[in-house]
Amino acid sequence: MVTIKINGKTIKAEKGTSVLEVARANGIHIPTLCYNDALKPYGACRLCIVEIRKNGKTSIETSCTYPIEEGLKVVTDSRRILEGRKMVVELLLARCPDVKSMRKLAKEYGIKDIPPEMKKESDECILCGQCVLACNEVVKAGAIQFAGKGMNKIVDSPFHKPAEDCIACGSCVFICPTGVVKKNDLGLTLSSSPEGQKPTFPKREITNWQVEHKLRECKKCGNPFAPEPHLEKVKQEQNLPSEFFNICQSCRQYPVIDEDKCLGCGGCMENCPMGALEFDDKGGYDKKAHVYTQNCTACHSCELICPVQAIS
Amino acid sequence: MEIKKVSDLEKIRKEGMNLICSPMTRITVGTATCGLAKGAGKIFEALKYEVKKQKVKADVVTVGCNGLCYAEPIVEVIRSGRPRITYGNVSIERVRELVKSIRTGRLLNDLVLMRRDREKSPVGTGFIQYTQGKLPKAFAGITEYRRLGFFKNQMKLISKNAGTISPEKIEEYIAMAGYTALAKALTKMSPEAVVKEVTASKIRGRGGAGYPTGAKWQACRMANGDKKYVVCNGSEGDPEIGMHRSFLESDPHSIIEGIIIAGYAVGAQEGYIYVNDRYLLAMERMESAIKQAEDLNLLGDNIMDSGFSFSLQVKRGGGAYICGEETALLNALEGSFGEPQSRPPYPAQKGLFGKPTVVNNLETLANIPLIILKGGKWFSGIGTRLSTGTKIIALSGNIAQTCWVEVPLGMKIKDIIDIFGKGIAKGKKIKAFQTGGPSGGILPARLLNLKLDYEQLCRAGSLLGSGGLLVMDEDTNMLDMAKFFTDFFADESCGKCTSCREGVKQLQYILLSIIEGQGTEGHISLMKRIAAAMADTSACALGKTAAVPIISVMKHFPREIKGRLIKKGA
Repeated sequence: MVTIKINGKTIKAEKGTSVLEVARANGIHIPTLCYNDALKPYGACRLCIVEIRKNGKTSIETSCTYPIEEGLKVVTDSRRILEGRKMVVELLLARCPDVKSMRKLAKEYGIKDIPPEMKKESDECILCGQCVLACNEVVKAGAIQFAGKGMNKIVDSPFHKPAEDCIACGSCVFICPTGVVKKNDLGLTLSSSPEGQKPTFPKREITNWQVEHKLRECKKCGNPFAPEPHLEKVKQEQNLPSEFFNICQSCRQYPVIDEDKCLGCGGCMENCPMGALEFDDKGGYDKKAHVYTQNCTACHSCELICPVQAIS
Repeated sequence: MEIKKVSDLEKIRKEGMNLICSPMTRITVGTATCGLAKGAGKIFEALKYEVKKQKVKADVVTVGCNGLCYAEPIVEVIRSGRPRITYGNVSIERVRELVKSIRTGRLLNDLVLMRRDREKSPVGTGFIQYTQGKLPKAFAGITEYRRLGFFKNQMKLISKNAGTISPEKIEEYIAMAGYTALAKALTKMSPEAVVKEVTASKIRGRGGAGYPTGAKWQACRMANGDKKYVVCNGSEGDPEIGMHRSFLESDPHSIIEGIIIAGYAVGAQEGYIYVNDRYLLAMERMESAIKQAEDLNLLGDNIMDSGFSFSLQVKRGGGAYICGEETALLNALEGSFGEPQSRPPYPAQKGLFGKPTVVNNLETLANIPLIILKGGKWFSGIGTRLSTGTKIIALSGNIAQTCWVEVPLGMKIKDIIDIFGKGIAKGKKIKAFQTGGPSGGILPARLLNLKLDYEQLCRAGSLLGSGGLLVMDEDTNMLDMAKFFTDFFADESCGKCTSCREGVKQLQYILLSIIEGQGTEGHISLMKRIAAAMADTSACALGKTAAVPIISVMKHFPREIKGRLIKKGA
């Protein structure tokens, strides 16, 4: 544990924690744009800057990346910092004037208009890098990356071709703070179309990376629920039975055993890949199957194998 | 043969000395890139042909660059017992006459620049005596090089070999006391003692940041890691200089020796030299130098039977200016984007592949052998109290004599321009100058009395940087200069952080508006706000200094900007 000061307040925290995390844990507000606690801090947006005073020297650093050490003095709201942040927001607004979240941010900083002398663009991406980091670090699909340099930097699929490694999980869409990364889930359409035209499958398009993948349909309710490659990837990485991947999130439920119907045949137990079913000895010949939900993955294998439909 | 002990080194030293000061005539041609660009390659071939044809007993040898860029191609003739003669501006038409003159003993008087009677090694291990006995009358009229202002006022310590030895022959480097520093470090000093010596020298990183090298080595030495690395930064991104290139092409072994000593000091066994993509000849010469060192067991396993092993590789960079920044360089070496990384942790603790790494500028490492041989205390007596040692300065722009020189830190900029550059070309007046490359401010002529050191230049809003000195004459349009350097930064920005990427884009746009006559006071105040935010909030030194060109022009040449603005009410 080390002792530091933020805005004059003395705080104790683990050495190496980022200034941002320590501030947030102590109710001190520092704004961020590219920070996400699921991702390794990148330090691109520059909004979370603070003044760091160490060994008599002051420097301005991003609080999301700076690790605390004994005796550090941090100032989060000096005039230099506030003016720096304001300029960062003005620059982003000039780049993305039509993005709602940028306009909202500008309002918070008292910026009414983009300075008239600035070049106005119509981009929607602020290059925060969250989609890239999510895809590469968390999902580990590695389908997208930064491309180009400087003013020409963009996020793209390799060679601007349809992203081969994209599993259409939609993490990039979910995490994007401006909404520039978009997906389109298209359902099954029946053949009310003219003769000779094939019915379309339920599919997901991740528009930005020119990708589309089939959506798998739930075995229980029939609704499309997840992209095929996404399910395949998770299947390879996790020790889950294959049936797990055929049930949608809504239908996935823990089994309930109707003891009146249960024969005690043990077939469900043999079929359970997680060993979550055991006999609950009620004494005598009256054995009934019992679910241990802590091991159960709701794959529904037992439901499907029960000869008397005692499991639902 | 493998060098197992210091006496083996001595054997090779004698061999090398026999080549430099040979009974046969030695003709050297400066074939660094600058010479080659002016036809030195063809002259080299022509000399070999003429020597054979005219049956002259002479060796034609390729050497590096001695800093007299304005006089390339340089050919030197060393006849046994006679002074070393330097011919400049040699053209291919004069080659036949030149070779003939060796037979007849005459000189090409219109091409002679200087003579050398003897050459003293700065490490005090003796000297080369060219002129034996009395000086023949024919040479008496030629100035001895130590009396020439160009050489008299320099302190050639790290550049002493360049232009004298062949970069392709390790024996010649050893002849000039090469690898004796390494031998001393490995056999007579502990790693701690080596770090102590470098710390005592007070040498500061020659890349631009000026961080004390001893402190950096100490931090890496003390860091925990199962593996450590030494990385030599030879990326030289500043557009107007070529010193790294010169060094690598002229005296690659001095860099190798410095790197191995650094490895020994911090406990690293692997090193990389990161070289600018444009420097193909430099990389070739460095790679061949490494191979020669390996063949002599000066690199590799159990160097000189000391128990210390070190391997070295050349890595080719993509040519981005940002990769001169040490964390961006390390990212590039790892195969990732050349983007800076936040610090802490510093490379000394967590650098290449997460291991403790020392990243040093090429010129810093070139100083190490000297510091080991003559001691840190001796080194700290050169230059100024806070900026010790010498610096290579490359003069360019509207200078009368383009050249590079090695001077003690603390020399006045005006003196450097007058003595070495011979003032402004075409007799014009100097208007402005820039030190330290694009990140250095564009300063007005009235600041010419500034001394070349880290502190003074920083206080004046400039920086020493990597040693470029760009000179601008009275006809220079300062707005154009500001635009040139702002465009440079716009091209070289990596684009990671908002402040630099968007900031420099806007600076470009605003500058264009001013140049096109659409600028107002509003543009100026916005530019100042953007510049302040860039300096404060950018992720690395590129972004922090990208606004310096335009801000320094606004500060020192306000009329050239204000005069272009739309007047209020107009």
